[in-house]
Amino acid sequence: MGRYIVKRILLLVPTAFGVSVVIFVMMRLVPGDPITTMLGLEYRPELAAQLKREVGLDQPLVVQYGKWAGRLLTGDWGKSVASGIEVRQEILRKLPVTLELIALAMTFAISISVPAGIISAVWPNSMKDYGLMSVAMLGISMPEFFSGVVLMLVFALQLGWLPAAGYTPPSENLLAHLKFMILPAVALGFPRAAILARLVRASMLEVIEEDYVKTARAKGLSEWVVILRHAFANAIIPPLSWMGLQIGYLVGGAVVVEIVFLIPGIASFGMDGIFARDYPRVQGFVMVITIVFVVLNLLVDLLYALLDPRIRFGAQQA
Amino acid sequence: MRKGAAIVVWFSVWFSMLVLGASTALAQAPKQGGTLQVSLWVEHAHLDTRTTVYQLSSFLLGNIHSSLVRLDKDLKPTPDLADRWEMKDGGKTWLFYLHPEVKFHDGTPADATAVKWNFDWLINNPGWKQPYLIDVLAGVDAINPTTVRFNLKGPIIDFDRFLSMTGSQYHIVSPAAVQKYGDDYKKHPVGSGPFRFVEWVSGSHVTVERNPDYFRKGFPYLDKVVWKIVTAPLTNVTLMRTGQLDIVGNAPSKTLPLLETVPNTQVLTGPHVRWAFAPLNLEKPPFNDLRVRQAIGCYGIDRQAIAKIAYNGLAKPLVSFLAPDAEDYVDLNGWCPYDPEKAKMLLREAGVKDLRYTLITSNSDEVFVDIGLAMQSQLQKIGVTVKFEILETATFYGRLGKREYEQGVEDMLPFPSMIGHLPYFHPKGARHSGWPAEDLTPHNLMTKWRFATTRDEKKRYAREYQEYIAKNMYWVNVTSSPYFEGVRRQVRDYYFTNGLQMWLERTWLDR
Repeated sequence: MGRYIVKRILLLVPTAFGVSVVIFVMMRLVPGDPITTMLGLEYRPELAAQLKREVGLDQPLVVQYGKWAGRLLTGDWGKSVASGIEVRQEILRKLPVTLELIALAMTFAISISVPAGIISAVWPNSMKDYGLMSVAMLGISMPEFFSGVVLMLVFALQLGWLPAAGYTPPSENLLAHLKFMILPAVALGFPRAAILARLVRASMLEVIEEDYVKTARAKGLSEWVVILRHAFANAIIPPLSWMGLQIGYLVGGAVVVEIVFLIPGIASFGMDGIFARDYPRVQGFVMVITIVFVVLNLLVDLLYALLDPRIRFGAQQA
Repeated sequence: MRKGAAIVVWFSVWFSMLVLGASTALAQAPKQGGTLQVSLWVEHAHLDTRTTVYQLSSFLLGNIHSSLVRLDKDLKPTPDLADRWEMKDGGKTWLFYLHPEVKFHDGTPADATAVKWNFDWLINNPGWKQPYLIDVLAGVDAINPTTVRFNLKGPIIDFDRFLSMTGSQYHIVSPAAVQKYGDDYKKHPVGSGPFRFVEWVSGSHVTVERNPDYFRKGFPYLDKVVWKIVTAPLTNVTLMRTGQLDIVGNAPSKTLPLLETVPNTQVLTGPHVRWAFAPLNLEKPPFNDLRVRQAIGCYGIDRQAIAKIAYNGLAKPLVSFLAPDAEDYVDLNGWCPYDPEKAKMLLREAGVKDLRYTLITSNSDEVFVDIGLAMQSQLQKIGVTVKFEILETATFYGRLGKREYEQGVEDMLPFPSMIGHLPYFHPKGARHSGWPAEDLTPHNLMTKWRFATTRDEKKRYAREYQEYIAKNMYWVNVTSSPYFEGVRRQVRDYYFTNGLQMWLERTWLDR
């Protein structure tokens, strides 16, 4: 197991290198550049040239990449071209906000999808099943920006239960912080909950028919012990694996949610960087997301191994 | 009995008037305190007022900094850091007398030496807006701590207006703060304005708080202003409804019907001082041919119809190079009546057949799409096939800046007079289309206008300037672009200046 973990961590190095090259090149292929975008209608060739010299954008691409990558290794992620703000400082400030949003979204998703999936599987083709899966279809069909706006209209405008948008750090006021995070978390988590519910249902339906489940029933265990302890414990493995793959999609969804709900997270930071063609910002953002993605996937795989003894034993036997 | 009743009635009326008058007076007396929440629709790149490129930065930074003069509600120069000023030598010399003992937020003196430092910096660090300043300014002297003298190269009779109108560059920053923070000053603005900087949370908001040592005693009334970065128009409207915003600036015309339904909110608009235009790239044939430009930009588009489609029908058709309500505007709409037959004839004369080109715009405002689509269909009728592309904003500006386009649709910042043209249409200034570089006539006319010594002379040169550009169809102007703000009714004494500034010194909250 230890060797497996080390191997996965070491794989991060070529992954990060590959991603750094790809994002560096792609940003320079996209039309526009940070100086032209920053100047907008106020563009003047001489001024643009001067500003490019000041930030090193007049140098050959290989030199630019080498300098950026070299500084990256020393912890210097560069400064935003337009604002001069240090990218690392901003990322470290905003990353926890997005991670929290994603965690809350997944918590919401899991807490409603697992019971929904189990109920649907235990009573297949019943009104409960149809009702829950219809809601799931709705969730899958609705993009985050739409569900976000609907939630805002209902819970903030009509009912006045929650604020429409904004953010308060937890250190300032925990209750206010949670109030601001509820709607964005639900908006982000709802589509995942919908898919997860269907996955749990499908996985449960498969497992419920297995012989060991029938054996457990035959032994006289109560139905809910059979369902939760025997069936669910195995049925959760495929959905768990799926959840790990959702990290990338969640970051993508977080961009929209952060913009709609004015959450100052890293997703909107990266998105704004793309619009502004702010190379250091975008490159820093992508590198961080890559690392987060790889680490979280590793954790999910380890969790997977913990839950499934066959995987553990397989590693030991090898 | 009758007499007694009359006395009672008289006293009742008198007493009611007294109570009504007193309560009205109390209700209108400004209230101290409160936090005003304002939306910023684009996040500024940084907070150094001398080099920021976003007009709207002046909204925020104009409250942290003082200028020598600023605009009042009627868009006329009004005292700010300068208490009064004098024009001498027919406009070649200007003296500005500062309020005494004003301090920057860091405690250093905001005196004549600091003002001189600021203008010397602008002259010695030419950015895009400086060429026209360098053209006119011979030097700045600090005569004494409260007197600054501007020595000009030629007479400018409205130099005060010039200083009040040209955006955020003439805000006075603390030299000590610039020296202390160096490059980091971009994150630590220090001025002498009614509010001092507290924090900037990138992607979220900027907070400023009341300056307790502000030189105009009794002001400001507000404790804090929070400028929230809200890029989505619908979110702006929603936040107005929930009370999380008090002012929405630059509200897109498409959101007006929604904004007007928000309770206790008024939509403010003013004179039309900005406009939408569709510049042709004169460097690309056949647009270097005047007949083609006239066909497309003059007779081939129906400005009346576009004005009805765009901006919820609130815009005005526009041929001239100044907005309809700008000072010295000349109505040249009669020069370009919609005449498809004449447009076709001009294209034939120019030998252009089956003209096809691409019209680009950005996705920053839906109104550009309305204008672009209208133009596309109108130009089809004169045999011109226009491919209309809506580009992401950065890509659009990239193409404009590098002149990799044929025609674009955009709108211009608010220019209440020709003064606003100076940074953009100076030969060394920023311009993304306009007249050929070798044609200095517009610049010469602008220079004559600047140095004209009477108002009538200024009017004459302004007319010549506008007529010259329209005659050569160097700039295809389409309609005015009205500016809207949503303001909650409890925001009182709010200085609405039609998108030029957002000065909150006297604003207070009635709640």
